[in-house]
Amino acid sequence: MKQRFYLFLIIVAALMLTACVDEELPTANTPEGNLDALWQLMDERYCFFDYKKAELGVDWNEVHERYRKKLSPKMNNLQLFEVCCDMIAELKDGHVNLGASFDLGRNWSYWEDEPENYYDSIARSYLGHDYGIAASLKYRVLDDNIGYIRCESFNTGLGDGNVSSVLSLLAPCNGLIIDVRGNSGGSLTNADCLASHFTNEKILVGYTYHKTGKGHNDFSTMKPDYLEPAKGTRWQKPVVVITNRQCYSATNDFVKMMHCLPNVTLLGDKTGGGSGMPFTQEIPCGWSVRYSAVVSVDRDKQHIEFGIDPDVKVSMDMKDVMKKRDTLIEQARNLLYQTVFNEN
Amino acid sequence: MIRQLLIILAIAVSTYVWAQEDDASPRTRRLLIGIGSANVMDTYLSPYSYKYNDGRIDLICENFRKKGFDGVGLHIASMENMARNVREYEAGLYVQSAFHLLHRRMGAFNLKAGPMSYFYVGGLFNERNGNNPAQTHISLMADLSAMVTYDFSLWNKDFQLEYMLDIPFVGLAYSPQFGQSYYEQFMLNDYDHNCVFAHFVNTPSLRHRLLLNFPLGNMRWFVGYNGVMDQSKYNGLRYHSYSHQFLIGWKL
Repeated sequence: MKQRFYLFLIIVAALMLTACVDEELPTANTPEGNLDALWQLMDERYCFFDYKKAELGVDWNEVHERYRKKLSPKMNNLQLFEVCCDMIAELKDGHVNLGASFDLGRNWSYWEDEPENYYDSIARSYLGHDYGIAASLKYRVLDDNIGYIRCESFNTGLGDGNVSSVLSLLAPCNGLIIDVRGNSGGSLTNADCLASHFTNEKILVGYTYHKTGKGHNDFSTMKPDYLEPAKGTRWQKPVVVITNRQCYSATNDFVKMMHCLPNVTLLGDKTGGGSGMPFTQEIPCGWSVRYSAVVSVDRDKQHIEFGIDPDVKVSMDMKDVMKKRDTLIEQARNLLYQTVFNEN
Repeated sequence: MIRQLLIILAIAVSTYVWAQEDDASPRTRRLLIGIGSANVMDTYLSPYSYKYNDGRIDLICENFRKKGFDGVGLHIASMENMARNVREYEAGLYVQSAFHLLHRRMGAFNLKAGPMSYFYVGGLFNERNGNNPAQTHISLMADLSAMVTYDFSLWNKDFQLEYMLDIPFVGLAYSPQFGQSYYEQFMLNDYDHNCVFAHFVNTPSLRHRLLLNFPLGNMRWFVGYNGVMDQSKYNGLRYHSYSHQFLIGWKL
């Protein structure tokens, strides 16, 4: 019995030697402390360093040295915020943000520097006034018996019932346009829900993996992502998905899934990308740090962080704009008409 | 992993069964309420401790047998980060059952020690985070439990000083991977070492308590200190939940 008691004491002593589980990042709320914490946080958790090095030449250690020189002990919060934002903007990732109470640090160059290919007033004229609304979907039948669904966001909850109802109402149409221009994302579950109504079988649409440690290459094995058919109404006719550079994050994922389907054509501009699921952390001064943490690639294991090319590249024609016509919607209608005509 | 799971389950269940087979000696039930500080860090949510404008309340119910005790406890905690601009909330429930195999009496001192099964389920919520807003903690551990009591009289009344120690020894715990999202786990069914073999090195935790037990009026009261030092470090994630509490309770 005595031996058991001594064993117990040894275990307690061993336990005490293992010390506290405490913070590892810099804790000083100074310009240096905050910048170092931001740099280290990204260094350990951001998931695209190797890809960004290959594509953009970003050397994260060099970035740290360069931006640390821009610090001064007397700089105020606004100046520090600017330096920190410039540092993370080197990654050219729309999912990387620095959030303060007075501003949101971001890099939206993926669409701000590109043609929009979308005019809200013109696109709305196609919906008219008597369109239907089902959760985040606005829809109607166009004059040439083509169904038109406008999906502006995946933030609003979308259920199988919503999509089934819309597709049932549009069932007599010869083809369907899904317009996701300007949709900057939202919930992946909503994107999955919509896409699942366009396949009859379980298909491979990509792979997902995440970081397992602090090293730039510490990743889990790739896990295949499958799109499974919805239990409700499933669309069987041709579909055109209209995209532009503002299609980002969950919308990029939606386009990735639709791109794998045989009856679907992507039309418009390249999507904005954003294939890293963002997590949120923070630095000592309380600013939030958002960064890409989980990688999603396409079914060929290729990165889609910088977007997905359309099958048919179409840009807005200014002559059409003058006539209040949407070039991309008109091209989509023509494409569907030709597809239906050829089938018959 | 299945072998480890079976061993842990066997230890936990056997501890529980031993506890149930205890003799039918008079039982003591007590209810304790703890109020104190909270200091929580979970690097899945934030690299920093949340320990400002903090508070934690525990509600503990225990039933003592001759050879051990059973307990159930519930706690809620709220705390802010060092910039005091974000709040986290923690809640947890545990069920424990101790079987004190070792029993030594040395005068007024009474030492009891033995294994204890300890099941915990709890969660931590960060009000700002997007895709990682919360973290779940679930564990089933075989702990080492020890208890020393000292009986004495004062003003012709019976007093008892009690020190209780609980150290998680070995078990199983749930944890996401370092950068794994809950979306991957539950929507894509992506298992990645989420069931972790926990032991006293990667779960260096300790819970202890000092209580004075005394009669007042028609009741027996308990007052004292409760210290919680729950820690873990697996799958690249670090977690701690510390609390120092003032305890008050009474015999039921």
